Amino acid sequence: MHTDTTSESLATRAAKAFAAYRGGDLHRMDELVDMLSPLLWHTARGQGLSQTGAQDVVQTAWLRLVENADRINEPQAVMGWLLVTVRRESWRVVKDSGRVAGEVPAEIVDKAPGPAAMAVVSEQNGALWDHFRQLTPRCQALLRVIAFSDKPDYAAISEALGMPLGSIGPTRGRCLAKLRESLTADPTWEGAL
Amino acid sequence: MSANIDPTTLPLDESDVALLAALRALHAELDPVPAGLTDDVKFALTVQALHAEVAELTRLSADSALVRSVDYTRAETLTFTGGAFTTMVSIVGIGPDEVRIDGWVTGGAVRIELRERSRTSSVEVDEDGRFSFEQVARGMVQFVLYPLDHSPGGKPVITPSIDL
Repeated sequence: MHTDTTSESLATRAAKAFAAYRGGDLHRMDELVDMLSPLLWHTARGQGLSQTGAQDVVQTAWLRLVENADRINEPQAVMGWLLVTVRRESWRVVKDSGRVAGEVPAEIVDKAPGPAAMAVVSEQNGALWDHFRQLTPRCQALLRVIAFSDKPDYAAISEALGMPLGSIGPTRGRCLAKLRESLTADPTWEGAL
Repeated sequence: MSANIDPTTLPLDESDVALLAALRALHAELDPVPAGLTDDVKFALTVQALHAEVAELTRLSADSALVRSVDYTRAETLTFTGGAFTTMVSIVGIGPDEVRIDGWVTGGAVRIELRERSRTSSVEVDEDGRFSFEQVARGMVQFVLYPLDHSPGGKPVITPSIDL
């Protein structure tokens, strides 16, 4: 049926590496960094941070994790812990910059790919990007995190986005339906629906 | 959607999976994770874990090209300065995939650790401050200097990563 049960979730693989790290295998932290940094990056960017801001926030989250490694009771919680830390830090940065926390600022979203990047982006992705950014900021943030979660752990995503667990499934469904509807209405779109 | 189904465990159908895969590819193309991000994170974690001082790259040989501001350096001779120590390193290719590293540390006796991607080795400098690693796989490496005379406050010194 669906793929969520065919292999371990990202949260579970992260938990194993983290447990080994805490058990003294310090090199496993590098594995954890490689495994989760893309998700953390896209989470921070989804909260509206600039590239530099997102890099700082991701790095801060990792430094905090090492400082607090002994205080995380369940290794399974490590991914959620990092996501929450990234969200809180992101909100702090956004708030300090005088914007409204939790909303992806339009100017950042507009700027995200940049004209230079768009020039070399495949036509298909250019079209998908246009449709994607018509979605609400909440939809954009959620779909972006789910897309990079690799067998999503919804408890972690709930924490990461500050969205109630029970609303993630329905919201995900609505956001995907909205995007599909928008793509279907686009005669130039030939990709997956 | 019936109320007794846990919405968070609703499976994604094939079309959802395809759309999410397309979104993943989209963001990977339009807003990729910066190339140096994970290396920067690992470096920061190592510095933190060792309570180390960070050495600066202070000199490159003339034919070297600095690819990034602090790390990612392709070089043949380079000099790092950090803490009380100055470390000069010379890198010579001994095959398509391997190099030999000879170095010289001034400022005191140290054990010098070579961190490669998947292994770590270390040697003590000789009485003249010289050391060498005879077969090192090409790739990203960094050095950590541990002062041997256990002077109080003698912190380890870590160099930025270099690309051999």
